[in-house]
Amino acid sequence: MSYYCAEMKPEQRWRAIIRGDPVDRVPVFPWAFGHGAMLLGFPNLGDLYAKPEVAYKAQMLAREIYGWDQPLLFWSPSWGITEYGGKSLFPYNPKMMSVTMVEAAVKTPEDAEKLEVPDPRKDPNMIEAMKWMRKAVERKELPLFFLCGGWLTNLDKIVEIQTVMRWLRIHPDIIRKLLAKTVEFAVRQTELLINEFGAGTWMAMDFTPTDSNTLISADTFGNIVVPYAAQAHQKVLDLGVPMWVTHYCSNQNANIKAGHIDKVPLGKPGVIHFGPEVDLKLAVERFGKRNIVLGNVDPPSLLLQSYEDCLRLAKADIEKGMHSPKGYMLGVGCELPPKTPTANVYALVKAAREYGRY
Amino acid sequence: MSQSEILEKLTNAVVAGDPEACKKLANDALSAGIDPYVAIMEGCSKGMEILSKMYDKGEAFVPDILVAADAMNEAIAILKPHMKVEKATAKGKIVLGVCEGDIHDIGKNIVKILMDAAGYEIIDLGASVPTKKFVETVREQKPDIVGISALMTFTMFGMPEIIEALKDSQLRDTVKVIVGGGPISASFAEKIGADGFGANGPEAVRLVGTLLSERGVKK
Repeated sequence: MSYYCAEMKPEQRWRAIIRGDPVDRVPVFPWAFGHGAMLLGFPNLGDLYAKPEVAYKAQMLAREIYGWDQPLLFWSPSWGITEYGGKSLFPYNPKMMSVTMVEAAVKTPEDAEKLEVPDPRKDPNMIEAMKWMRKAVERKELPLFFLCGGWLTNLDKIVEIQTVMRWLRIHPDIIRKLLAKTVEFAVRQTELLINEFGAGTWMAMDFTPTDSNTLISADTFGNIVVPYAAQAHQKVLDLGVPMWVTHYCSNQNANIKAGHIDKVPLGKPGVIHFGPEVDLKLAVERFGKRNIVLGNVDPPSLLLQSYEDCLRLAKADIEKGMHSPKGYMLGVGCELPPKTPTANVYALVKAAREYGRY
Repeated sequence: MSQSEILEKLTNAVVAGDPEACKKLANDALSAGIDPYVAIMEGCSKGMEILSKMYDKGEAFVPDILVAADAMNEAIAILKPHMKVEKATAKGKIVLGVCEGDIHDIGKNIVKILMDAAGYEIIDLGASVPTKKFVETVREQKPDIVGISALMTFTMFGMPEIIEALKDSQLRDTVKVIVGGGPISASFAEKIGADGFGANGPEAVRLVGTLLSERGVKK
C-alpha cells in the first residue's frame, strides 16, 4: 500500500495534465456533489445547495476521504433562477435531488422581451458563494470551478421547460434572445470573478441535459443553441479563464455526428465529459486530440451494482480512455448518485490506482 | 374536399403542428358530416401515431410532439362536443405519475400525449407524487395500468416503494405497473417487480398494448 503515499497530490496532477506533462495515474473526477452532503450526515441536500459553506465543506471532506482529484465547484445558490426573478425550491425534501424552479421568471414572449440580464454583483447568494471561493483561493485549494453557461439548460431555469420546447418550434427568435441574455449573464459573472480572484485561479463549468438529443434534434441544437453556447465559451476564454469543463449530458450522439460539439471551444485543452450514452472510445477518437476526456461510468450501475462490478466498469473505462492524447480522467457519466455506497465510490479511486498507472 | 381528403389533411396538420389548419379542418369535418369520433381517431390520432413512429426513429423530437399535441387539441376541442358518448369509451385506463421529489415530468407528459392519442383514458397525477397518492388512486379509479416515471437516481427508489405499498394494500394484483425514465433500465424494472419497462414514449404505448391484451382488455 505504500506506493499510494507516493502519489502526486490532486493539484499536482491537475497542473500536470493541463500542461500536458506526465501524471502518475489517471485522475478521478466523479462529479460528486450531493454525495458529500450524505457523507456529512445531512438528511437531505437542501443545505448543500442553499449554503456555500456546506458545499465547500462537503466537497473538501469527500475529496479527503476518497482521495479523488475532483476540483471544488462553486455556484450561486440562486442557481440561475432567482437572479432573473423566478422562484426556487431547495431540496430539503429528502426525496429531492436538486434545486427546482417553482415559478418561472418568463411565462410569455412579452416577458422574454422585457427580461433584463441580472447584475451578479447585486446577488447576495453570489456574494456568499464568493466568500467561500475566496477562502479556497487563499488556502490554495486549487483548481476551482464555477458553474455558468449559455445553453438551453440555463434557459429552463428561466422559462418552464415545456415552454422552452414549444418556443423552439414556434418562437425560435425568442429562444435566441433569451440565450443571448444567458451569454451576457455568464460574461458578467466571469468579469466579477476575474475582478475578485484574477483569471488564472478558476475555471468554468457547465452541463447540458436540456440540449441533448433525448429532447431536441441535432439541427435544432446546431442552428439555435450552438451559436450562443460557442459565444459564451469563447467570451469567457477571451477574458482569460483558462478552460471549460463541459458535461454533455444524456444522449449527444447526433450532436456529435453532426459536428456541432466541435464548434464549442473549451480551451487548450478543456475538459469534455459525456454521459454513458456516448461510447468513451468515440469520445477519445473525436475529441481526445484537443481536450482532456472525462468519463463515464453509468451512474445507476454505481448505485445498484456490487463493488466488484463497479471496479470492473471503472477498469473498462480506464482501458478505453487512459491513452487519450491530451489526457483522460476517470469519472461518472453524470452526477455521482448521492446515495452511492461508499465502497462503490471507492472502487473508482481504487481502479485508477490499480489499473490507471502510467 | 372528399371525406378522406379532409381526414388526410387533418392528419398532416397534426404532424405539422399547425393549430389553425387543425381548427379549420375540424370544422370542415363536421360540415362534411364526418363522424367526429372518426375525425379524432382517423385524422388526429393517426397524426400522433405517425409522429410517434418518427420520434422512435429519431426523426421527430420533443418540441415536435408538444406542438403537434397542442394543434391536435385544438381540433379535438371542436370535435369532442359533437361525439356520441358510447363511442368515447377508452381502450383502457392508465394512471401516470412521477415519483415523489422529482419534478421532471416532460417524459411522463410525452407518454401521456401518445397514450391519449392512442385512445387510452389517462389519469395524470403530475410530478412529485407521494406514494400514498398512487395507492389511493389505484383503489378509487381501478386502472388497468400504473405508469411511474423518475429522472433522478435519488427518486427512482420511489418505484419499489409504490409497488410495495400496492402489495401492502392488497392492490398489486389488480393492476399492472410499468416504469420508465432516464436512470431506469429493464433490469431495474425486473428487480423491483414491475411488469414492464418503456425506454421512451412509443415503447411505453406498445408495452401498454401488450399488457392490456394479456389482461384481456380490448386493444
